[in-house]
Amino acid sequence: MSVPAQKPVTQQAVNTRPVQLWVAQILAILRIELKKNLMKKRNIWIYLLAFGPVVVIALHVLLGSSDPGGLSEDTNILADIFQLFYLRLAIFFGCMILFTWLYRGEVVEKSLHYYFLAPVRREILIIGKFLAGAITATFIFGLAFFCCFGLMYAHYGRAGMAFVFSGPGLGQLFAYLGVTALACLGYGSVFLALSLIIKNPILPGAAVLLWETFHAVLPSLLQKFSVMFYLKQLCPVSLLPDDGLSLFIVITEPVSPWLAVPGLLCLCAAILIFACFRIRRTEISYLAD
Amino acid sequence: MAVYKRTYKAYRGAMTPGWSRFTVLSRYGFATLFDSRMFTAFTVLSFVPFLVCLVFVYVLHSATAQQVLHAQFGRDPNSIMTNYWFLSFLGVQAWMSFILTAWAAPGMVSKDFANSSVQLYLSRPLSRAEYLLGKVSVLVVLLSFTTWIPTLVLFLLHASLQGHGWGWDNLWLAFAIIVSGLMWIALISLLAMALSVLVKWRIAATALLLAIFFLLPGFSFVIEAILRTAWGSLLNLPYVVTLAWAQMFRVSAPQHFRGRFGMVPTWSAWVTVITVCVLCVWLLHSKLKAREVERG
Amino acid sequence: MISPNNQIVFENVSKFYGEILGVNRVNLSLPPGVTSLVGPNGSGKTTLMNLMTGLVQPTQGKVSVLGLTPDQPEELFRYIGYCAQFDSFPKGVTGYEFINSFLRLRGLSSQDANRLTWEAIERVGMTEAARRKVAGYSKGMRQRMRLAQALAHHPTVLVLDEPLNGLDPMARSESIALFEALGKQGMHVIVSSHVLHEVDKISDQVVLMSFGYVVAEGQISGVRSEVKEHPMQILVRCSRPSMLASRLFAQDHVVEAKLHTDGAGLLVRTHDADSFYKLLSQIVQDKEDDFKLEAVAPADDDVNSVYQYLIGSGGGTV
Ligand SMILES: Nc1ncnc2c1ncn2[C@@H]1O[C@H](COP(=O)(O)OP(=O)(O)OP(=O)(O)O)[C@@H](O)[C@H]1O
Ligand SMILES: [Mg+2]
Repeated sequence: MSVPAQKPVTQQAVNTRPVQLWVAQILAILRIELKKNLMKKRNIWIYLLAFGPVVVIALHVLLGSSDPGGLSEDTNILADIFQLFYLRLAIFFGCMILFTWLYRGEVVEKSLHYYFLAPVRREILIIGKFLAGAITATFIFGLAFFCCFGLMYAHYGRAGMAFVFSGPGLGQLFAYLGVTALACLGYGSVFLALSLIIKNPILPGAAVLLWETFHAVLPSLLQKFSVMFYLKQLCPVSLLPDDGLSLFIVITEPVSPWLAVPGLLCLCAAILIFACFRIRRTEISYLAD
Repeated sequence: MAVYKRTYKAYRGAMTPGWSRFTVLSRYGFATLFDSRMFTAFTVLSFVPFLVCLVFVYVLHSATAQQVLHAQFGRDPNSIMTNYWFLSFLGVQAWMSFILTAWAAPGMVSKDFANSSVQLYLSRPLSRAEYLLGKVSVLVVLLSFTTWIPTLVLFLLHASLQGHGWGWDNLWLAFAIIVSGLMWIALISLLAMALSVLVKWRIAATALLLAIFFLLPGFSFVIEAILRTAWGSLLNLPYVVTLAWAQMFRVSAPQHFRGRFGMVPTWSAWVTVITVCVLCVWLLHSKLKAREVERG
Repeated sequence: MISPNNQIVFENVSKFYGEILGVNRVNLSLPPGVTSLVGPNGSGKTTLMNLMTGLVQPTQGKVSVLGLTPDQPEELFRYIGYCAQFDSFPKGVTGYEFINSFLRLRGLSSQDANRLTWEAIERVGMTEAARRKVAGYSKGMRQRMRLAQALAHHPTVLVLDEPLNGLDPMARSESIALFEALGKQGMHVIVSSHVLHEVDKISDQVVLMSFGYVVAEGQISGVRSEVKEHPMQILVRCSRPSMLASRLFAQDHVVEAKLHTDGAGLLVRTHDADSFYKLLSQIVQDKEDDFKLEAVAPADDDVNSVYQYLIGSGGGTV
């Protein structure tokens, strides 16, 4: 080890304007976290979850017939899959794994203190990590659903093209992707906040799942504290009424999208603000869990 | 003479027989489980339906008790205590035991892996199979006492109160209760063990177990809807198990099981259960090795 | 109390982990230079360092570092480098990425971060291994890498928790030389250790800790004399305590000898434990005295016993 003269504290080329510094720091956090999130071996589960239906649809395309009469049926099936599988289960579980690990993982791997020792506000840390999680989740699930959508209609050739580009198809796709992003934000904030309070998020996670599934039977004020409440109103194609599970998809109190989107974002922001307060008081204690 | 030679003496006392060595693990397993007050409370809670049903069966057969309670069941107890009744009871207990497993099982093995204590166990006179046996036996005993044993006790109670050889005539039902219970126990305990060995982290193992029971059904729905086939439901373990049970208990499968594309044959349900169990055993066998290189 | 801006100040700081005591009522003011925190396992060294760096918050009292508190992370952590006790890294990084990514987090441009990263890596002699995954490092290599990370941004306050752990003798003496040089430049270098004579040569001040209390602090010579002046209590249980007492009073290092009420024990206060033990063994060997010794134990857990423990037999050479 050499002992060159240590210069007195370098005031390092740190940006003077705080906002600029914050942005640079958030970008640095994103760089670290995105790489971790997208590449981590453990996250193979999320990919499996997201791309499972794509594989199934690909099989369908390979094996099935392509008579144009199936197109409207397939549109309904796609809606079913989105609401019953992606929204209720896959994105929910995916966000649970991803966002819980954002914070809990640092504790389990005993690396949280490196973040806490950097000249970064802990609020910035939370926001940076949240964004990294949200981008990852939106990317994975958005891409997966995009593939589902593409495969489903590409399979119908001309008729499919017409449906997508001159029919309602494209609008539906954007709506689906938008809802996916909102779902990732909503569930993400819930799980990030939960992971700050509770070591084992399984029990509260199960409670959240029940809450989100059965929120339709709650009083209307309480319904507004559910992520599903906003999301299901934004879905472009409503489900077939005869479906056994549609009981949980009933909309009791319609809200216009102009309220649903800000409503969800407010809910998400409130949860994040809570998380920020929480992280300020967090101490490093890597006890076994 | 070196000091250690004077003071160190190998143990020469009596030893427990080798075959029972694994029970040490079971003993400690139980002790750690019931250290948690929450867990103990839930275990007690899972006996509540049993006690209620015990009283119910008794009242059903006792005219005096019915008078005291002003209850009127009137009809023949046999028309209530059907095979369907026993199946429902076993179903309730099965879900209770599932929660117990999701709670208890992942902590038992994944901690050993996370803290590299598997090596410590395996460097004792304890084989891999015995290590597993020690851990699994905890689950098997716990789950037996919450699933088929209470059901069997209810069966025996009813049979003894009923008399007239009812028990002998319905011996197949007792058999169904035991086999169904053991099948369920084997499935969930092997699955829980295999998953915790696979991911080595308690929370993740619990999540994965829950995902297999609640998320895979969603995926099976996707397969059914897109491929227009009933075979997707083979991924739906609760569905598959219920089908197999229905066959054992000689009842017809629930109406809503017959989806848009019909129902899978019952033999395929059995094949699925057995395949899952075999897969889990294989996974446990291949993952449970003392790892040579350990880094902190 | 006004805290001068170049000091690390603890004002009546206590930290409890639930029921467990971490540190209790610490009042310290550390000037620049090399400071050693010395104490046995569980005495609160790590806790004190975590308090300094805001990783844990005091249950009571206030901590300030160069006039800044941990509530101002953006300012404070520009000046602090902390090499914690946890031998852990973010998953899957190489040594280079590890240091570089956290420098980028400070808001540095990629060229600056790159330059500082290599400088730090060279400083701990890890240039060859820098591109390898940290997971494949040996313990000493990991220790060096973490030291490099703490040093990389040129902190003014360097907090190092057991930095010599796992280092080979060469690296050990190099590290010690490095700490000394950094201290000479006016930095705060705070080093924890279990063994006093490992660090006392380079320490400008020493803080001795035991059971969560700071039992002695100051310049190394001051600490030594403080310890020396403090008489040590020893409890002897034996058959003829009064005979022992009379023999003891002939010695000038014995301050006090109290007979125990049950007539089978003696409490001795002495300045020189070694001479006392020597005398005791003489008496025991004297067959004529018919003296039966049952037990000898230090009767206090304070500075002396800690000090004895920390410096071991080397204490005689102080
Ligand atoms: N996170 C924690 N939760 C509970 N108790 C803790 C925690 N961290 C430390 N302690 C307790 O605080 C006391 C001081 O611990 P600390 O880690 O500061 O000791 P130390 O001097 O660093 O010991 P060592 O030399 O072993 O590193 C110990 O009794 C320890 O058990
Ligand atoms: Mg320590």
